[in-house]
Amino acid sequence: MNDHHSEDLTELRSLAHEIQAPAELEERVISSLKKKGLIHTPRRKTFLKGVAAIAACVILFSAGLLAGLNRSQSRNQVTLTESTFVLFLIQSPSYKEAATPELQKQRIIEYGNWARKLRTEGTPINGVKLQDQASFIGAPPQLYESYRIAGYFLIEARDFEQALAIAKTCPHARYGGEIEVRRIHKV
Amino acid sequence: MTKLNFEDRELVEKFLRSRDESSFRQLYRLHTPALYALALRFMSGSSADAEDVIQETWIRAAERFSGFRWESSLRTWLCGIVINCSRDLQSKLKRHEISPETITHQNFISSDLERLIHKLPAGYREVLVLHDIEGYTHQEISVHLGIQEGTSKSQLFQARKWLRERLQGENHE
Repeated sequence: MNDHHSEDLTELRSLAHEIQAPAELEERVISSLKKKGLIHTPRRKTFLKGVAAIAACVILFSAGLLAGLNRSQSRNQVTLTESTFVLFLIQSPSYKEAATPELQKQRIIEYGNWARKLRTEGTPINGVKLQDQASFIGAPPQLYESYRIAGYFLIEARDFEQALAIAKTCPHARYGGEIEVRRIHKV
Repeated sequence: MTKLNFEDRELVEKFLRSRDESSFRQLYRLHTPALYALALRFMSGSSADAEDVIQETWIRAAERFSGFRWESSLRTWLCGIVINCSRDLQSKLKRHEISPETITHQNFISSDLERLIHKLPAGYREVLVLHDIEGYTHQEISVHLGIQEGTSKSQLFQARKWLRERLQGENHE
C-alpha cells in the first residue's frame, strides 16, 4: 500500500514544485527576527561609542592620509584618467573590527601608512574614510546592513592586474574586509 | 528526503557564530520557495496564512538551529516546522477545509486534482501531500505529525481512495 500509486494518481508527484514567496515577506521575516534579537544588526562597535570617537577617527584617518598623500602631492597626485581605479573598502560580517577605540585609531594610522608607503614608491593614491550615517533616496539596498562601504582609495595603475595586486596589500583585506576594485569611466 | 547539504550546514554554523543577516538571508532564499509551496498546500491556498506560517517557521528555526542534530536534512527539519506552524495556525483559525474566499493564490490551484486535494479532510491531506507529493517516508511522516506509521499508511490509503472516487465521479459527469 505504501508506495503503490494507482494510474489515476500518478500525477500527484508532478505537483511537487517550489513557489516564490512575495519579496516583502523576506523583509518581514528579517524584521521580526531582529525584533526578537535572533539576528544581530551589524554595529560599528568602536565607531558607535560616541560622536567624539567617530569624529576622532575621521580626523585621524584624514590626517594620516593627508600627511602621507599630500607630502608629495605635486609629484603623485591622482588625476582622473582611464588608469584610475577605485578601491571600495567594504565592511561585511567577515570584517574583524578593532576591539577598542585605541586599536581603531591605530588601524586608521595603519591604513594611512600603507597609503603613504605606496605614494613614496610612486603610486599616486588618495583616500576617503566615510562616516557610518547614511541616508537613501529610495529603499536601502537589501544587504546594506551587512555590506557597507566604509571608505575608498583612488589609485593609478597600468591595468586591473596591478590594481588588484595593490588592493591585496591593503590592511583592510588582512582584517577580513572585502575590497571591490573598479576602473573609473572617463568620458 | 535525508540528503545532507553541506552548504546548509556551513550557512547554519556561520549564522550561529555571529547571528549575521547575510547567512540567514542565504538560508531563507535557499529554502523558502519549497516551504512556501508546502505552507500554501496546508493553508488551503491562502497566501496570507501561508506567509504567516513561513514567518513563524523561520522564527522557530532561528531559535532552534543550535539544537538541530543534522540527523536529517535541513529541508526536512524545516518542513517539520512548517507542518507544526500550519497546524497551530489552522487550529487558531479553526479553518480546515477549503472555501473560495481563502484561495488567494489562484495560480497555485491550477488543476482539478489540486483542487480536490484542498478539499481533502485535513488529516488525509497532510499525509497525502507529504507522502505522494513531497516524497516523505511513513517513518518521517510519523515523526513530523506525531502519529504512528500505521496511522500514516491507513490515512494515505483513505486519502487516495477519497481522491480516486471523486476523480472517477467527475469523469462520469
